[in-house]
Amino acid sequence: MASSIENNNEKLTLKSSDGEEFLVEKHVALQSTLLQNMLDSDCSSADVIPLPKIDARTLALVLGYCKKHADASSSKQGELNSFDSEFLKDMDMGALFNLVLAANFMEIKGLLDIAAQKIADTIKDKPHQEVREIFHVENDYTPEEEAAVREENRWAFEGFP
Amino acid sequence: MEEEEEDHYHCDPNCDKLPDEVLGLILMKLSDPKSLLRCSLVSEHFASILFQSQSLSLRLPSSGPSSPLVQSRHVPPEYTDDRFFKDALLLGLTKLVSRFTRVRSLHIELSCECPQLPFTPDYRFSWDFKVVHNLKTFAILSKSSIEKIGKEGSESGQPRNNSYLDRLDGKYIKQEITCSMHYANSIYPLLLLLVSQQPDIKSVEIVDSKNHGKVSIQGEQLAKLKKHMPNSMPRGNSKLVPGYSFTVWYVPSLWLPRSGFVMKRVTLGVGSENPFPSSIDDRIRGLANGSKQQPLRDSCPRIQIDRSREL
Repeated sequence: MASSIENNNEKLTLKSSDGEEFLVEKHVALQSTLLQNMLDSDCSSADVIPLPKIDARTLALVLGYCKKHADASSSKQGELNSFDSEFLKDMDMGALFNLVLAANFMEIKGLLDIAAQKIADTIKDKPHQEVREIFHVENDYTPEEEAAVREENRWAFEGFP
Repeated sequence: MEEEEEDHYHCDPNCDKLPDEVLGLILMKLSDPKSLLRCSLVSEHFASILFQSQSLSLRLPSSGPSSPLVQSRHVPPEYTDDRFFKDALLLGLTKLVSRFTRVRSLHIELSCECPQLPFTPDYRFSWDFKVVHNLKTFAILSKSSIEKIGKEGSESGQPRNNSYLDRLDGKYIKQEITCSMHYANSIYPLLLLLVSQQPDIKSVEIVDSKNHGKVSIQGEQLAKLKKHMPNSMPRGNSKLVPGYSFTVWYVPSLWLPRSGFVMKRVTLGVGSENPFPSSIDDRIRGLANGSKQQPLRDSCPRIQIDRSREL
């Protein structure tokens, strides 16, 4: 009895890149392989764990995801799936990028997968010039190279600028 | 450990570029051949991340006007005299797959088209391939590209090295036969027929007439198939037979469970005028009763090998 109360109360403090602290229940934190490994390796739960790559807004989202998934029983997969799609629904690209980075850093596989899938779905039907802008990528092809690839794969570029 | 890393990451995530592994993950989730090709034009770095991927999943559109499989007009002139490319029009897709030189696992999904069926199949066929060696060229099958795979792969104890290689040497390689396999379009109705006649069936294996490969369905997949069974199966084989259709797939590596070989860079073609002989019922029963593989005969699903030129 006493130990279960103790377990329930066990919390971690996470600190975002912009200095905000988040108190997280341990079972929620365990959704993250990174945090799990830190806890396993005797990292005291009294310590504040800094997450220097993740801002407060993103961390709040990540922890919302973890809490939902930690609390839901495995039998409620359908409910989780609809939570997942709702969770990402109106998110803009910047937020998605932050989320995918955070999920990657904190090693939360489920979140990484759905965020990556969402980004993929968004760029799927976009012309490559637009994808360049979304990812802030410089075009390093010469015009000749680009034309050659397009010429060779005309079927993939039909209807695209 | 984390404290050491801290100093390197003071940058706001927004100005960070995505790490390569995350970018790779995103690109892998595109699954659409056209999107993949377009993304390869974003930048050289994008292309290198993309084509380094070890696993590739392709979901192919059914052969509508946008399908790469039905467009002959983009086949370069130097290939138009080639029967394979003229008929199969796989060039674009084949080229795309061939650029994934490190691919180790390939998953292909295609929608199953059976225009003659009285219902629309509502799920797709998928193939999974494990690639044993690096993919360098494609659509070339030669003696050196056939390799015995290790213990985990081989099911049958006795590989038939000599006869198999001889057969390849004597027939397929020298004659460069254009392929023909009825799988995609004929196996779906065949499966439906099996499941409708044998509701308690636990696993299905369908082997082509020359033992070059098989389709194996059990457990969850089979349950799914049963769930999607139409209420009334059409009687009479003629209604199950699509008139004529042709689809071709390039497979970097095809595991042949009986011989224990892996065929590399294989082209699988699907095409037939009449994939089901009238006596099909007997063979189906044979297949269903024993879990043994009973090869269907010549007029049934068949894989042959195509050896196309290197591009």
